[in-house]
Amino acid sequence: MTALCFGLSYLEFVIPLSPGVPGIKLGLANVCVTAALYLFGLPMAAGINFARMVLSWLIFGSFSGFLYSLAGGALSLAAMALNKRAGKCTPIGVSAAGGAVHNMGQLLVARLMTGTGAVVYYAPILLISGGAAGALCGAVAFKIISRLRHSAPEKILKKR
Amino acid sequence: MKTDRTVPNAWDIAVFAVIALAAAITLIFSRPGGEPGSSVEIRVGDEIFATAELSSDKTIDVDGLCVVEISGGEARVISAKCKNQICVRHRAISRPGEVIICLPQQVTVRVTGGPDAVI
Amino acid sequence: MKKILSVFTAFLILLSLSGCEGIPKRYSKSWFDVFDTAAEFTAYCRSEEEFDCLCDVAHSELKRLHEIFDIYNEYGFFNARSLNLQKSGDCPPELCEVINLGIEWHKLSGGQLNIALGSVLELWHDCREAGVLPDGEELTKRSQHCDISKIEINGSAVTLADPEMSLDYGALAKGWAVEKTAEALCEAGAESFMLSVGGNVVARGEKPSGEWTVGVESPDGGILTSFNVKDGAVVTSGDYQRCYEVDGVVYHHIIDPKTLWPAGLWRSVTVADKSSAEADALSTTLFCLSYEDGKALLEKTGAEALWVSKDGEITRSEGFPDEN
Repeated sequence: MTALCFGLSYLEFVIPLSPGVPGIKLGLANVCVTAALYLFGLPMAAGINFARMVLSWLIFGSFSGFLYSLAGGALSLAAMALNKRAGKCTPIGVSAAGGAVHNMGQLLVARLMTGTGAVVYYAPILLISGGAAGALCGAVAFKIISRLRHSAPEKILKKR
Repeated sequence: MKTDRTVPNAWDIAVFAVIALAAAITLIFSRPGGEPGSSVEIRVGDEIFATAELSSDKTIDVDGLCVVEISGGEARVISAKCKNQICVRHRAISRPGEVIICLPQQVTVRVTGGPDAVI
Repeated sequence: MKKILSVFTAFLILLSLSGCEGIPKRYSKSWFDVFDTAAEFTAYCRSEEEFDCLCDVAHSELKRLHEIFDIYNEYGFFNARSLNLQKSGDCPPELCEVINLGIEWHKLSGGQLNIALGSVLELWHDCREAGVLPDGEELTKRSQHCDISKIEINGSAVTLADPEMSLDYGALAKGWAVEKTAEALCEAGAESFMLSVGGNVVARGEKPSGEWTVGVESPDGGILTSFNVKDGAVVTSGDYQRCYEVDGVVYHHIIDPKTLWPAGLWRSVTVADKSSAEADALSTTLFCLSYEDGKALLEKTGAEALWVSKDGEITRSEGFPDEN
């Protein structure tokens, strides 16, 4: 169990350090969060998510970035958990919803922080890109989940 | 090792559809429409000193520098401590984007909305 | 197939979610200490720090150029006022450039734009401050000392051969300065901004909601028309911008070199052009020319214009931007 836990945490660790174009966050972290949600349940997923955000903040030193991640991350995890509970979508749909909500959460923070309504002009593109990225992350997570479901000992996995 | 099919199901497509719909709606609602300039913004330098509805009836003493009167849907400067009194002689403003400036005292009285710059 | 998919996936994931803190937001700042007018800088930046940085760039450049072209004050280096007082000296490159531009425009405008009109304009300036009208004889006397050919240029050394002559850059310095400042801003990384300095507007890039918009003031109140500006400049010369009243008559600040009195043909002329310096020169010149002469001059350049007559009638050149 510990090994798997560390495995996923390590993946999370790698994510913030992945080189990216400044301003563009790799959505890869969502693969881990989604996978964690399905394999270990909500509390674990939340923990990993939060740890990732704090790590990013410490490494990249952006407090405002942390706030934006927090808003996006918390809302998206909530959306994903609810969606998963509804039990109808595959991880693809769950993650897609998570991605879209993540961006909307950040947009909300931007709106509050700057007081200009202009940020709303980015809503359409952010929704689509968030959903798309979420779907892709979900697909990857789906593969991971299905693999691990079959290969890992039952006791470390949360029952559906 | 046995693996499940990992393809999207119908409900996933439904999620995509919802997202697309949300995107379309926000796109429609973010069209810049006509800007109703209904408020007056008074600045001293860069700081906003006061704002008021254009439809209100008010007399505002701008930090002792000048006096702005809003009435009848218009705003005007009725008195000022500057030498050239250009701001006082300026006609009343009422439309989005219009502005009265008292340069020596750095006071700006503007009707909000309208084009980004008015020249 | 799997490889393509994974590469595509990676690409799409990379494209995803530019964190909302990366969304450009609108910031605005005003200055009142440059070019004797109100200046406003509006930009879309990713953070307040980025905007403050751009503000520093804009303000310092505007102030620097303001000091170079100031004919009323000196700042410890040889500037426009120094040249007018000493009649000869080594000028900063910016001053040389604008003087040369002024000479070029004098030719292009058939003598209508004259930077050597300084002594006449100085009289008008003093009278405006005092609230009186200039003496006709004095005006005529001074007009004898407005010969632009008396400017001698030798590299960066400029000499005014006529000791009673002085230069006034009001017709194009502001526009030129705004253009230079816009360049500095672009170099500093600004992508979407608008800079407005007393009737001289420059816009670069676009706002999230579309193109930058400029409105032309109606001389009698309200906004005459408004249109979009994309990577260009708009300048308006109007009889309502800087004026004073004597015995119930209003006198504005744009002096026609032919009559030595405020030009009386138009209420305002707005010029839209790629270059702010050109737009500034054109708007001042066209304000003192008839429609036909103005149109002819316009055709030599790539600019467009909008004239407002004394009766409030609007005439647009063919390519003038449509109302938005």
